[in-house]
Amino acid sequence: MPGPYPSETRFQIKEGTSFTELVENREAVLLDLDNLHYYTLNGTAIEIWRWMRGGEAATLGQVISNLHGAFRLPEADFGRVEQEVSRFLGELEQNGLLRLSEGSRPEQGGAARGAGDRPYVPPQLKLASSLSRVTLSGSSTIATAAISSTGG
Amino acid sequence: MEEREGPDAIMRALTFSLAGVPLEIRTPSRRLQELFAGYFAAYAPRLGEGEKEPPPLLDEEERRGAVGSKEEDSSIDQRVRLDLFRVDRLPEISDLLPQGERKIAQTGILSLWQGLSSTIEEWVFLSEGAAFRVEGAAGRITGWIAPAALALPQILANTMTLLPLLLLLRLKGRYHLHAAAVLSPKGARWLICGPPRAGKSTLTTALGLSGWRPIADDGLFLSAHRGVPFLEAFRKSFHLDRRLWERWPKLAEIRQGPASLERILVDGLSHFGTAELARSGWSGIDGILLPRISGERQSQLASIEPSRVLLTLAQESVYFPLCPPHPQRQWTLLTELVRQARGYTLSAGEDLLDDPGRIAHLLEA
Repeated sequence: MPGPYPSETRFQIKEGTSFTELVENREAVLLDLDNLHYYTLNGTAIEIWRWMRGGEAATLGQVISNLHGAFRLPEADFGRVEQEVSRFLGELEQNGLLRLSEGSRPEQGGAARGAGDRPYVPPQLKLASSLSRVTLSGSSTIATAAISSTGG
Repeated sequence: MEEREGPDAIMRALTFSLAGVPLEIRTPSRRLQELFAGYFAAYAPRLGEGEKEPPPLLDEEERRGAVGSKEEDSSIDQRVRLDLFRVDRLPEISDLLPQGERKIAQTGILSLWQGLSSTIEEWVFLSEGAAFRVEGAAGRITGWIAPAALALPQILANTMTLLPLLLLLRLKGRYHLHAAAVLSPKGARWLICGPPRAGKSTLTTALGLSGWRPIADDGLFLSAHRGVPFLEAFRKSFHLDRRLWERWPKLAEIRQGPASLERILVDGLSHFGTAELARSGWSGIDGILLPRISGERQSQLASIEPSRVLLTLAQESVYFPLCPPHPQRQWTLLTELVRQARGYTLSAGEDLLDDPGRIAHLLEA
């Protein structure tokens, strides 16, 4: 697993991914259009992906800062949250959804929107499945069974 | 005595429109004409004179000249043509894909092969009874039908021929979804999606017997219409498990068609009075049901995350990974559908077989 990352590490999300929020702020899916791997994101992961995609956060430090602003996290949680986010970014990188970008000078992130009453939960990326296999669905399975049973 | 077709046999053409795509099925075989006229009866195909039989196998240069290259895809028309020939012996795959091939899918003895030509998109479907070559840019399928396939007419139509046709329709932006569609008495639109033997036809019929309006029991076409997902029923016979007649006395009112293995074909749309309704497409879905036969006593309905619904819809979309950029377009349409609807799993128990009205009660509750 890549990471942990220094807080000034810059990231760039992969072009060629389809990101869709299915339930606002709660559930989103990512489809890697190159390999058709299909991932789900929870609420915190959705925020992070949106910030990185929209240029509101390009470094680990900016993501952490945005999270603290959005979720009003107490200072005591900084270390734990940084570990959790670093692990999440590592999972994204490991799955090819994120790469370290050139240059180490962090840019200014944007101001993150508040998360309202939503509690912070550790960001989570789940590989749900791969859709890269060609399936011949439908009655084909019946058909082949039939042909076999008639001896061709 | 079987009719035979010689080289001078007259091609006859069945013409109709499927999911908005003009389709022409040409064959000199009267038996195949009758088979496909029956299979696509809901589309009221017209039978007319076709051209004299073209040479079914062209060499690479001839084909390029005849059908255009990949780069010319944007200029091709929407028409799809299916030419079918009865043969005693199927052509070799090396004749069908002379520039080489790779196998990309296999189910039982039916396999799908992609040609390695750099200029022409083409695929071949092979089984012991039939071979079909799909030429993407030309919008043309050529099928060679041997006696083994003719012996299984429903499977020849519903699988061997349908699968190549669905691939060509995909290139026209019509994406097949392996799902049933039913309207509730209050007008809510439901999809029932799942793999073969998940219970789609059984549930669709149970709902039909309970006052719901079935539009399709097995397949839909998904396309983009003015930027939004648009669904159309694939109007064909319902395939019902013959054992249902022993459990549901109301089924005695449905006129039985031919049997295909353990299934009996019935004209579900006519019986439920939804043939006209099924002619129109629609946008928007209220509920998506993912059933599975549990074998338990009681059925269970449970809501599930949209991401699981979306995954199932994509998995039940034949050829999902094929022919970029269609996976991305199809994905966008599927995600829009899922965002509109509530998703449920149904663990279908014995109680549904005891009382076909049970599923309607569960969904209405």
